[in-house]
Order: sequence, then structure tokens, then C-alpha cells
Amino acid sequence: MIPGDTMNNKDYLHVRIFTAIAAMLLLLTACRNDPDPTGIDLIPDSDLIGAARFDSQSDSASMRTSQYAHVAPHGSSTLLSIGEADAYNARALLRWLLIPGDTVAYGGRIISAFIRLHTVPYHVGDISAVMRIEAREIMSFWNSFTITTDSLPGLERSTVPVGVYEQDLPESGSIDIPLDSVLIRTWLVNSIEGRYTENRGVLLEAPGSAAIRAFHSLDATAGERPALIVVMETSGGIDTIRGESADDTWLVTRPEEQASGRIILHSGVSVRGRLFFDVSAIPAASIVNHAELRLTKDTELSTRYYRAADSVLVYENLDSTQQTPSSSGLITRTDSEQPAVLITEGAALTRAVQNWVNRKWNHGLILLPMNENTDLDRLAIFGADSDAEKRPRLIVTYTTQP
Amino acid sequence: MKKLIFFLLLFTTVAGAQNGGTVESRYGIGELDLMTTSRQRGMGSSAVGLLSATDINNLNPAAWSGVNGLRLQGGMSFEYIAMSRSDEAVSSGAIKGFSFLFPLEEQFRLRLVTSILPVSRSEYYTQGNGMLENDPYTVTYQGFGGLSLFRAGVSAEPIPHIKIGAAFNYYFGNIDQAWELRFDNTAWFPARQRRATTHNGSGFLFGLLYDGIRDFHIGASVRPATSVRASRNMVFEYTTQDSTVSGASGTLDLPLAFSAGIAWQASELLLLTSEYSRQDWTDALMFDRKQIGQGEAYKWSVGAEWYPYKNDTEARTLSRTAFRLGFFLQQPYLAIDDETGMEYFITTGIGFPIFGNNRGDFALEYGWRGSESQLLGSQNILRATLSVTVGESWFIRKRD
Repeated sequence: MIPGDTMNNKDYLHVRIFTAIAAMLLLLTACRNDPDPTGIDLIPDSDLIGAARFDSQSDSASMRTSQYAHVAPHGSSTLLSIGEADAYNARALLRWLLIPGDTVAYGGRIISAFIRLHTVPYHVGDISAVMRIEAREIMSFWNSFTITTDSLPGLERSTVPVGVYEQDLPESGSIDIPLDSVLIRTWLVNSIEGRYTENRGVLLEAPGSAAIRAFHSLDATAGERPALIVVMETSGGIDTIRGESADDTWLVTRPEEQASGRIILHSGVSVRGRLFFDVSAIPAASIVNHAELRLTKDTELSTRYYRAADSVLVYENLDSTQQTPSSSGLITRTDSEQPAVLITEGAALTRAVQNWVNRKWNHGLILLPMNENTDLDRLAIFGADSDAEKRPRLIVTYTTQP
Repeated sequence: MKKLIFFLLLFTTVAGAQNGGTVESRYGIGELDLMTTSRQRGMGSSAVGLLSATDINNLNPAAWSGVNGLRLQGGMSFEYIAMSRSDEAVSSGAIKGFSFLFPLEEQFRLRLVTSILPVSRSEYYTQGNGMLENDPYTVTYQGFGGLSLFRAGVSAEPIPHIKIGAAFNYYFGNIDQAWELRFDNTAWFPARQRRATTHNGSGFLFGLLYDGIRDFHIGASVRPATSVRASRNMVFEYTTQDSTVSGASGTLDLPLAFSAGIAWQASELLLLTSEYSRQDWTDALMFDRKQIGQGEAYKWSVGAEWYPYKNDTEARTLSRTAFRLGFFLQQPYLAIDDETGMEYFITTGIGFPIFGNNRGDFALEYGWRGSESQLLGSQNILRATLSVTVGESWFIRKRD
């Protein structure tokens, strides 16, 4: 023990007092005040930042708009459209790989066979018109997830219809399209003998119908899906069998419509839009706080055949040669004060503009029509060559740099 | 274990524990630390001419040869600033570093000292408002960090009454400035930008102390000018989850600092001291550019230390208790808009034994600076500092 190292009561008191002061000061080292405006004038001008705005309308920024055909399969569509109207020509393809019936195929008499389709009120032209729907046997391979309108010329089908329906169609209900029993027996035999892929189904079309009608597809709810129904007479009596392992799609063609100063988005066909904004007026690497895109509809050139959604899907274009949309997009909303104006804003658009401002790339935006796979509608939007107050408008709020 | 934890707490917090301050610390390398112990603060922040058997002097390495035995020293402070232009005061706390002295040899009073000490602090947190068309927003400006140093030095008394000391200083530290712009519309993405400047470099400190004149100690120290490396990065935070970093490299000038002081043992109980120090930042460059808001800094101080019960053998603790009083005026190196703000401080303090040869020192300072014509208005400052110095007994475990 070091001499003089003994502690008496006064020393302990000193220790306690000292420890208390030390603890208090130690705790206070974590003190931090709320921000205070005092001293803001002392911040040097070179350090001051603020918010600024870029408006493609008032800043006369360079802008380009265009449209392009997007050929894609409709295998996942919930609707099948059939008919001809307003320069559209729509056809549906259906097939059933498996028709259960074991020995019925060889010995039974086919009383009747038909395809039952359930109608949907969507239409082009006169909904009450009598339609002649023809079924033609398809004689070459097709797949609903790969076949497109480009494949149509190469699709082999019978020159003579294997079934015809010629009546008016209910607004909502079902129709039965009769099919040739010879064709049905061929499918039965193929099914039993394991040659499923040779059951290539039928193509349904209505040439010269002056109307297009929509039907539920196999992606609809259970009670409304297309069905192949075969009524047979066997030794045991009357038997009704249904086709299984079905596949369907629909194809539509229409000459691309161009209108000066417009972008015309087509669902069904489909035609998409492209927008490009030159944001080089925004200092590179500025932080974008918010971006807003405003589009003006041309209601005169737009249609309201099907659901006629007053919205557009907006995606960032990741590749201007391949027209690759980003994985997340935004849906526009209608301006409450100007119903013809569509507005979109959100993180996806802000990020897209941020990529442009950071000079990473700028391939612009892609506009998709709503219900692109299922509907037949056109939505016209004023383009870059329109009047200033109607052309697409990009408003970017960003922060200046110190 | 408690001692070890306390030791580690001091060690780990000192380098980054510069917090609190006003917007003035945005300029240069922030507010400079006086680097005085609580004992010295109690005497008007006089340090250079003081000799002590227990207090490790951070300004004059020659004084280390006056210390007896192995010692560990650390300190902390709390500051409260009231500004006439603000409804709220600024308060802050800081760890004031620690030092370790190891006696190597007694004939020439050879001492080895290592220290980790704060050099400066930049800490401010202010905000302003703006309006972009119909969208209001708030901009927050924040700074934090500062410079610290790690020191290793030696002192000796090669000739009686002449003590010399030298130390190597390694400077390090980050000074960050952050901006945040936030719209009142919380759906919009806030903008955060941050500039971080990292410093590292080295320098020296030399000191001399002469106590050959009866009852007088004369001291001087000089810290030669040096340049430390500085690298700066600017980071922007984007919605795209990436960030851009742009950088620059350069140097930061630390100008020559000179101090001279004298202490007079007026009587057995009373010690008087006075000191003058100076450092001119006018031409100091940062990234090859002269900095705005920097000028000449100087300090003049006087102080007294009194042991009224020194000869009272009955009161063992009280006889070793010192009372202190001082005054100093200081011209900081920051001169914003060519307005210099002289600071005036009245100081007081007390030093007392804790147990054995361990001591605690507590100092209280009241100061004022500025005027109503200046941007921050007039300021009143209250500062409390506590230092602890422990000797060999600290390192000896008690027997059960």
C-alpha cells in the first residue's frame, strides 16, 4: 500500500461529489439541440441550397413523342373477341387436347357437338347485329403464349368451315357454335390414342360481320369459360362429355392509325407510345424531389368500345432500341379540374427522371394502354407537335447543390 | 474494472466527442479548443508558464518534467451559450481528451507523454425556410466533427532550472457538412447531401520552461506551421438508391502558434500567472484557397491560484484544496464579414484531492462576446470543465 493512500470519510465524500459531477457532464455530452434559424444568415452563399423547378412547358425543353406497334401474344387474356368492325379483324383460337371417352370414340354415335361461349357486353359496332361466326379447323401447331398476329399468315386452317353460328348474340348469355361430328371423332380418337398435340382446335371468325363481340376466355371464372360439349349415344344411353386441357387466345389486326400531333394508344392490337424529354437544363446530379407528368387526352380520337379506361400506364424506357419498359410503372389519374388531363407522379417516375438527371441514360418513357391484352379501345393523347398547353408536360422539382 | 471502463470511455469518445456550437463553427476548421486543463481554465486559461506536480500541461511540453510519478489525466466540459437573436440557447458537452505521463528517469526529469486531444470542433444545426411557388420547404444545415490529435512527446531537464519538451502531433478528424431540404408535402422525396472532409497530417510542438529565477516560472511554446492532408467527398442521396460521390484532395494549413507566459509564486499560498498567445490564420489555405472568415487570433490572460489552508495540518484534504480565479480576453480566428468578435471571460475554479495523490479540478467560466449589430447578436457563455488526474495508486488493485 502506498503511504498516504488511506481514504477517510471526507475523501469518500469528495469521490462521491466528483463522481456525480462527472456523471452529469458525461450525460450532457450527448446533448443536442433542435435546429434553430438563428445564424442562418451566417451560412456562406456558396453553401446555400434551395428548391428549383423545371417545367418542360415553360422552359421550352426539347421533347419528342411517337408511337409504335407492340406485337405480343394474348394467351393470358380474360376475353376473346371475334368479328370485324372499324377496321379491326378479331379472331379467336381454341383447342382441347383431351376429350375423355375411352371406347366411346369408336362405337358411339355423336348426336351433337358444339363450343359454348359466354358473351360479355363489350363490343364494337352494333351489339344487336346478327353475326355469322365461322369455325375453321386449324391444321398447324400453335401455342397461346407464342402465337401473335404476325404468325397468322402461316397458320394453316381449313378452307371450309367446320361449324357456323348465325344468329344475334345476347348481351350477356351464351351461344353454342356447332361443330362437324367428323372433326370431333377425329379429336376423340387422337385423344384416346395419345396423339393429343394433333388436336389443334378451331379458329373462330366472323368475316364481314360489321360488329365485334367479346366472350369470356379460359381465364374467366369457372362457370363462364369456353366449353367443348359432345353429346353421344352409347350402348349405355346418352352421354355428355366435355373437352379438357384447353388452350385459347385471340388475335386482332388493324392498320396502324396515325394522327398528326397525336399519340394513339391501342389496346388489343396493340400500339404503345413513347415520350422523350430533354432535361439537360437541370444541373447534372441534382437531387430530384418530385416529378410529375401531365398528358392531355384527345377525346374526339379516343374510343369507348370496351372498358375505355381513362388511364394510361407509364413506364421508364430502359432501352430505346428494344423498347423495354421498366419493371414498375405508374397509372395516371384524372385531373379533378380538367378531366381531359391525365396526371402521373410517384417514385417510379421520380427515379426515372433521376436517372436522366444523373446522365446515366435517357430513353424516355413508354405509355401503355390500359387492358392492353384484353380490350379493343383507342386512347389518343396530344403529342409534342401539339399546341403548347396540350403537349405532354414534365414538371420536375429538384434541389440545387452547394 | 470500473477504472478500465472509465478509461475506455474517455478514449473512445474523445476523438469524436466534439459536439455543440454555433454556425460560426462552419468556417475554417471550426472552433479551436484552448487545450487547457481545468486547473488552467480556472486561472484564466493560463498554461504555458505553469509548473505542476500533478497536472499534465497540454500547451507546454517542457512542463511535463515537473510532474511526479506516473499519471493519467482526462477531462470533460459542458458549455451553454445564450444568444440575443435566438429564443433558444445552445448547449453542448465534450470530452476534452486524456493524457498519460510516464516518468522515464529522475536525474534529468525525463518524461514520456502520450495524449489524445481535441483540436477543434465544428457543430451547428440551423435551418431556414423557403417557398417554391405554392410548395413550402425547410432547409437544414448541419455541421459536425472536428480535428483531434494524437501526441507523443518527451521532456527533460538537461540543465538545472531549464526544462525543454518536444512532441509529435498527428492530426486527424472528419468535418462533415450536411444539407437536407424537405418539403412540407411529405410525399415528396427529401434531398440529402453531405460533404465530408477527412484530415490527416503531422506537426510538432516545442516548449521551454525556466524556473531559475526565485519564485518565477517563465515558459514559452511554439507549434510550427504545418499542412495536413485533406480529402473531400460529396455524397448525394437519390431515390434510385445509389449515390454520387465526387471528391477532391488538397491540404489544410495550420499556422504557427506561439505562446509565452509567466507564473509568480507571490507567497507560499498564492500563485499568479499571465500569458499571451497568438496564431494568425489570415493567409491559411484550404484546398489551395484562402478561406473566408479567418483572421488573426490572440489571447491574453491573467490568473491566480490560492491555497488558503495549505499550512493547516489538521485538515488534510482542505490543505490540498486550491481556489482559482482568472480573466482572459480572446480574439477568435473567425472573422465573418470582417466582423471580429472579442470574447471576455471571467473564470474560477477549485482543485481538490480525491484520494491519495489523485486530484480533481473543476472550473467555471462566464464569458460574453459579440454585439447586437452582429448576425448572432450578443452571446453569453457559461462553461464548466472537469479534469481528473490520477497517479500510481489508480493502477494498484485494492487487497480484499
